[in-house]
Amino acid sequence: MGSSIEESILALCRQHPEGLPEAVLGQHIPASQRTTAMNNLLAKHRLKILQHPKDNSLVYQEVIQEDAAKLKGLSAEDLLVYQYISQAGNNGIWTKDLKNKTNLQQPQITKILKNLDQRSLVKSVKGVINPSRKVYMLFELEPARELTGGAWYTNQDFDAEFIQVLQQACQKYIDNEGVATLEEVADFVRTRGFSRVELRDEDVLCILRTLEFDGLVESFVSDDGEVYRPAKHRVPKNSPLTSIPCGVCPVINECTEEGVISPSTCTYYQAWLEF
Amino acid sequence: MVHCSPQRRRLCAILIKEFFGETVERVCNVLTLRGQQTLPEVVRASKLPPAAAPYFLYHADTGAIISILRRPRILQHVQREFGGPGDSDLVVKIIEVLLAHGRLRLDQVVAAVAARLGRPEGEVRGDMHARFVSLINSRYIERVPPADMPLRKPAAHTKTQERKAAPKAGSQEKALQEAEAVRQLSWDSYSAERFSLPPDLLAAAPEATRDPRVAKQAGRAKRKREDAGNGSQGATAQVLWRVNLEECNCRLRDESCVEHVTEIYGREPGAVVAALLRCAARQPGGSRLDSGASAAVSASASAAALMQMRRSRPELPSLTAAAVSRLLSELAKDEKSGVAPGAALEAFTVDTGAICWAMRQKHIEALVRERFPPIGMRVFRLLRVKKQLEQKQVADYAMVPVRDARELLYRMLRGGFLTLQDVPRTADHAASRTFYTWRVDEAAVVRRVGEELLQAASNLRARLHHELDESDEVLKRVEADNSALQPRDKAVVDRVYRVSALLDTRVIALDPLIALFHQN
Repeated sequence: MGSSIEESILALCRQHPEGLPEAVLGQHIPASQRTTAMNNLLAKHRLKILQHPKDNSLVYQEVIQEDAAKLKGLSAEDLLVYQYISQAGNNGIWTKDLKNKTNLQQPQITKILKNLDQRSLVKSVKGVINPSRKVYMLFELEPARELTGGAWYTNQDFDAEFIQVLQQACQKYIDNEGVATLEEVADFVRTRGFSRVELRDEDVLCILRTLEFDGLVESFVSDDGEVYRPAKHRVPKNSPLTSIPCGVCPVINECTEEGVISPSTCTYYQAWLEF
Repeated sequence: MVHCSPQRRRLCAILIKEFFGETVERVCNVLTLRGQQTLPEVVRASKLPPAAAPYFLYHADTGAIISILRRPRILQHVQREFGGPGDSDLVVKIIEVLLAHGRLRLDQVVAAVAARLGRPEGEVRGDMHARFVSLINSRYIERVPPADMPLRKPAAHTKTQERKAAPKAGSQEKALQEAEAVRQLSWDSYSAERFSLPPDLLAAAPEATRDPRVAKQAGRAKRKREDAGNGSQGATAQVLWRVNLEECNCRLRDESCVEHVTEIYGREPGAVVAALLRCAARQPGGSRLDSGASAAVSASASAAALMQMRRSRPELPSLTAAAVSRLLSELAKDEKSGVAPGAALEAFTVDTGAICWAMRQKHIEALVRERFPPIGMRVFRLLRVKKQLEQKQVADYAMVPVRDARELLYRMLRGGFLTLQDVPRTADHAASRTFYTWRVDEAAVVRRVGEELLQAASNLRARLHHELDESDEVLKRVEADNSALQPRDKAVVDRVYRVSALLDTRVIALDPLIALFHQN
């Protein structure tokens, strides 16, 4: 009897994958008949109770068999922590936030997290913005780009060399082509396989913007939209001011005729004139 | 009243001391430090004996003093404009004499040029008159303004103020307004005769060198002279002439603009812009340093000017009117070229102000690249484009680690290339509740680089003087008798020649930048 009611409840849950509302369940199985069956299902981790995001009413969902096996043996507190970590998705959740949400003590949370970590249910990840702050997420999830820093970070370290390689490649491509659109440059970068991470058009655009600020390429709007070409207005390699010691002198502001630093005794001038 | 920056004052003092001696330098120091002064004030401040002072003027024109550095460029320019070395020799000598002496009467110019050429005065006078007229007509030479003429008001860079009600009689505003009116009247009166030829000089000018608009004037002058006999000779003899530095600076600025266009767009567009600017400079009021854009010139007039320029400069390309029109249209399509269509059909203007701005930016960026790590220029240009950014945004846009960006931003702030602005969120200005944004104050950077250029030029001159002082003893012995020199002394002399040539060359090379950053 009890087992058939349990099956009926699970069948109803399968008909409502987004969550079986309490009212719908009440229409099919009266409350007096289902209490024991519900308790059994919850005890066996076959059923989970959730709050509907819209009206906060209770909804029921069947737990997948594999998940049920994974969660077997976890206490109610473990499951609570697990649920909050699961809700955080691939952005992860900080232990301090976990403490606030679950109302559990820090040592208890630490113990639970260690347990979940050992069972490979969750993992800890360090973000690039706050490297000292560990966040937790489900073991199988890939951390979000905001957390890893996207293509420009390797193991939480800013990969300046990789960016430089990409800049050189993009510049060379534009120099060779004469004129190129963002999509063309992005396709070139992707087909050459410069990166292990998939580079989006926005990523390549960031590279092109740096080339523009470096004065190596310039953009203009044509019939094809915004296109890039080698810069016509190049910054000169040196100017009459930079080719004399005063132009690059770090203490030019302190230089006076009778002062400690003066053009008559300047060592930079000495070296320059003797060259 | 502080009249000019310390760097400007120092360069003026060094140049004045070098060319006119210590006494004049003392007077110059007083005038550059205090602005306009009365004679007793100058005497008191310079601590000179009263007898030494009456020869000095009461206002130091620092622009004219700094243009001493520009003399080689002015002479080169005149030589280029007036043909090859043989033809232009006399013209160059006239300018050289006027630059050296400041202001001279025509007969004094003739005497000085004759002395320099080693030819008799009578012979030189005959050859010189036509060239002198030509120099006046092309505005390289002007009449010296009356000594009591008020100083020209500097060009205002502020926004135009809204129209106010007329000031009340007796108020300070009214007095200023009237002083301005007097100044304007005085300038108008001077402008009317600034380039006018004295009657006998006008009549002596050959037809070929005569400006069409002064042809009528020549006819009138001839008649007047015939009527008055030799009465006008006295007037000519009294006129003082000087080099028109404003015109020279304008021409040199135009040359720099042409070089810039040639460098970016090529030889032919550069030549077309040069022709257009030449035409625009001939128009009344078309050549002013503070005017942003040139006068509008048609493509056909530019083509004709290019043909004319090719006579003295055969290296310029030969272009048809259609080709000139096409090149100007192409340039006008590019906003950065500085060429824009004029109000009339087929007419174009050159925005020399915009080109000079672009050139200034180019040199500032080169300076930033030399003084800071490679990403410095990226950050500088980024902030110029995006106007105001927070530190994190700068790091993200420039694709550098936040730590590197922070270090660089503070270095650039210390160097005077960036400005930090705080935007408090609360009234207590607490740092934790304040946004800090970075930006480039372009006017301040231009001013700063301009002052550094003056300081660099002063330093080069000061070092040159130091080097010459160090070897003074040996150099005196060289002057006395070269044969008595030891090998060690010869090495010293060689070094002094090499070092002074290097320092002189660098000062001359700095001058175009000084002109670019101190146009007003």
